[in-house]
Order: sequence, then C-alpha cells, then structure tokens
Amino acid sequence: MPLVRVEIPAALREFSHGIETVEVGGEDVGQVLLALATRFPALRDRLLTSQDRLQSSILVYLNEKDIRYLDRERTRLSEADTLTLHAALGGG
Amino acid sequence: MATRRRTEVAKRQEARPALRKDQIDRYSRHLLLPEVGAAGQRKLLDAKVLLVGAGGLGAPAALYLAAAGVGTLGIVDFDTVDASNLQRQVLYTSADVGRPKVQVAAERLQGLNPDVTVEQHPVRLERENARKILERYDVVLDGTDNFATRYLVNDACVLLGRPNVQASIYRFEGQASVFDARRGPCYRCLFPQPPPPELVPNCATAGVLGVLPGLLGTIQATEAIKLVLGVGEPLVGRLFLIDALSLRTRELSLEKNPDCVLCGPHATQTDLIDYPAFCGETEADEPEHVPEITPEELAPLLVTKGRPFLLDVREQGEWEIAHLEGARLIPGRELATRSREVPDGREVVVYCKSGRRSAAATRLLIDLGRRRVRSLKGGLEAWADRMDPSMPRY
Repeated sequence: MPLVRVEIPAALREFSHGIETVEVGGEDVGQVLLALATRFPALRDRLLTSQDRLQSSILVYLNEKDIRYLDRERTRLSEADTLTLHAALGGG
Repeated sequence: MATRRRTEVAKRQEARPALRKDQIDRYSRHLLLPEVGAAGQRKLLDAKVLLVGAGGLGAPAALYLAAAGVGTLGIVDFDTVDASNLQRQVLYTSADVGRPKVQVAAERLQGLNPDVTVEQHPVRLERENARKILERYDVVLDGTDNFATRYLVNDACVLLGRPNVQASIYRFEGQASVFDARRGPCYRCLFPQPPPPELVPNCATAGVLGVLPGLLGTIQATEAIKLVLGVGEPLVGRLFLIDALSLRTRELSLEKNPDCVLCGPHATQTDLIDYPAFCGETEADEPEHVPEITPEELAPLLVTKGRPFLLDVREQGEWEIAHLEGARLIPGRELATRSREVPDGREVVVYCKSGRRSAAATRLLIDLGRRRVRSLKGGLEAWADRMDPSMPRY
C-alpha cells in the first residue's frame, strides 16, 4: 500500500491537532481520506459526507491536479504522491 | 449581449476628455507606466466597479481603487460600523462607530479622491435586487462574509457576464481568484455545494488576523485594476492561497467544470435561486427545539446552593473575552467525546454566544441520555443585554 503525503490547510488544522502534513497509506484517494478521518475523528465531517463521499466544499489535489478531473475518490495513488486538501473559506 | 456591452464601454471611453492638469499631477506615477499611461488612466476614470461588502476585504480594496482613480465605485453594505470592525476595516475611525458603512465610506473615498463617484447601496444583496445592482458595473469585487452571498454574487456575475474578483479569509489563511465564466471557471465549478452550515467557519467567532483582509483586499483591487486596464495575467483559472503564519503562498490550477449547473455546456440553472435555503441557513436560523432558560430565569438560580452546572460550548478565544462565573468550557465540537466531563444528575445550562450552538449541544446531551439540560436563550448576547451590560461583547 503506497504511503502518500497529505497536506492539511490551515483552516482544517484545528481538527488535526495542528498537524500540517501527515503520511497516510492507501491504494486510492478514498482510502486515504478514510484513514485520515480515522486518525483525526474531528476531521471526518469536514472532509466526508455521511456516505463517506468527499464534501463538495473541499478540494483535493493529487500533486497539482484536482482529483475531480482524475478518477475522484477512486484515483489510484503511488508512493511519494502528495495530496493537498483545501477548504472553502467564507470570511470577509 | 457581450458585444453590446463592449460597445457601451468603448463609447464611454471615446466620450472621455483628456486628463486635466490636476489629474496629471495626481496620477503621474500611473502615467509613467507604459502599461497604464494616459489611455489606461482614462479607462480607470471611466470604470464602474462594485464592492459587495465594505468590511475587512472591501475597506482596503475601496481605498486603493479610489486612490487609483476608478471613476465610479459602488458599495453594497447594509451594516453600521461596529467597534470590533476597527481592528481591520481601515476605512473607518473610532468616531464612525454606529454610522452606516456606505455613508462613511463615501465620505472617506471622496475625500481621498474627488474624481471618484461613490454609489451607495445600503441594502443586503439578495436575489431580488442583485441583478439590478450588479448590471450597472463592469467589475464586481466579492468581499462578503457568508456563503449565501458568495453564491449569489457568483451566479449574478455569470448570468450578467461580469468578472467576479473574489477573496475570502479565515483566521490566518486567505484565498483569491477571478471568476469569469466567459473565459474560465466560476465559483460553482470550484465548489458546487457550500459546506454544511454547522461546519461553516466564521470570523466572528473564530477570529481573524487584522492585517490578513488587507493583504487579500489589495490583491482584489490589483486584479480589478488589471481587468479594467486589460493588462497582465488575471487570476482567472487560478486560486491564490496564502497562510500568513508561515507566509507561504501557493496557487491551485482551476478548471472549468463541464458539469457546472450554471456555466457548463449543459447548464440547468438559468436564474438566481434561494441562496439562504441553498446554503442550509434557513434551517440553521431555526435553532433546535430544546428546553431553554431565559437570562432572567437563570440569574436567580446562580445564587442558590443547587446552582446549575454552566457549560460553555464556545471556543477558547471567545471564553477569554467573557464567560459566566463558574462555567466550564468544552467547545461544542469536542462535546461528543468529552460529555463525561458534564456531571450527571445535576441540572445543566448550556450557553454560547447567541444560543444556536448551545441548542445543538443541548440536543446532543439529551440524545446522549441527559435529562435536565437547558440552553440559555439568546446566549451571552442576551445575558449582556439584559443582565450584565458591563460584559464585553465581540
């Protein structure tokens, strides 16, 4: 199972105990997101719907590419890939 | 439609006389730039730019747009200046507290540059008035503080064919992009749905570094000026991100979503919609139906021997501003895992800032089997209003 680096944005770090980057194992993006939600339970609702699908207000980039234009949660991962999360911000 | 609009803009530019002597003095540093020059400055003087929101983002953006000589600045904001705005909303001074923001902004901006006409829109932007207000302007800057208005501004801009220069902030983090569906993605391409309302981060309770909207608001002004001048590479199809704590910036490449309901090839949304409902705010506005206690009922209980356990479900920073004596802080997001810290068998009164989070926490405790739990109606705001006017507000 490949180990990938996941970058957690500042807006979500309060739910990851302040951790900025973490290494998580998973064959595809969906597995990594679930593993991340297990590791940081407070992140679960922010990242995933009750059906464990990615929330529409969260962007996930595999390296430099939005996973929605790859194979979404089923996008396959390789060792040393980087997943970047980004949350919609609303403040002004 | 787009051709007619281009003709209108061209006509305005042709009708504009040469710069006056005082304008040459004022804009000389622009005139020296080959990318601006006299022709560019005339474009700026002709331009009509709308700021939606005159808050943290809108205030610095407005100052730079006015200083740059943007001829017509529209400002939409229904709010009045509050003391808590002054930490970041640099358009306003202490003497302005309580006054309508659009009125203060108009005075300040016209004082800064008499070339600028400020059009005041002291209203809440809504489905019913958005098209009529936005259609008068060439470029729209979105500096609002809620998702419902962000989707409304996006949709109106797409339907009217206007560029939407958007920025948003949270604590130490900001993002900016130019959404122009005619040549790139719109906001819905990026975020088809807003976050669930209960998970929406809010600067009013989470805080924001005062200078952060200054950074992002001036980026918005930069992009608006570039769009008016037609120079440089606008932030179309790119999302600029900044984390002020590390001062790291990065850019995400954005694509036009072929499934976008608004700007995609098979768009199904052809008009504005009910945005508070779309963002789930209507339901959130109606707090959970849980047992409540008013400040007047709570006050006498606090001096009795069997006083209730006071549970504060806000965040640490809010607690440090003000809290009820003897209360215990357990942020609402941690309550599910820390509910054992709430004593069983004793009456519990849960409170937050306004009563909404405490209602949700009360529901959670009841669902966990607690029986004697009530939510403080109206929260600390009501308590400060009616029981303790000396309590600091935020």
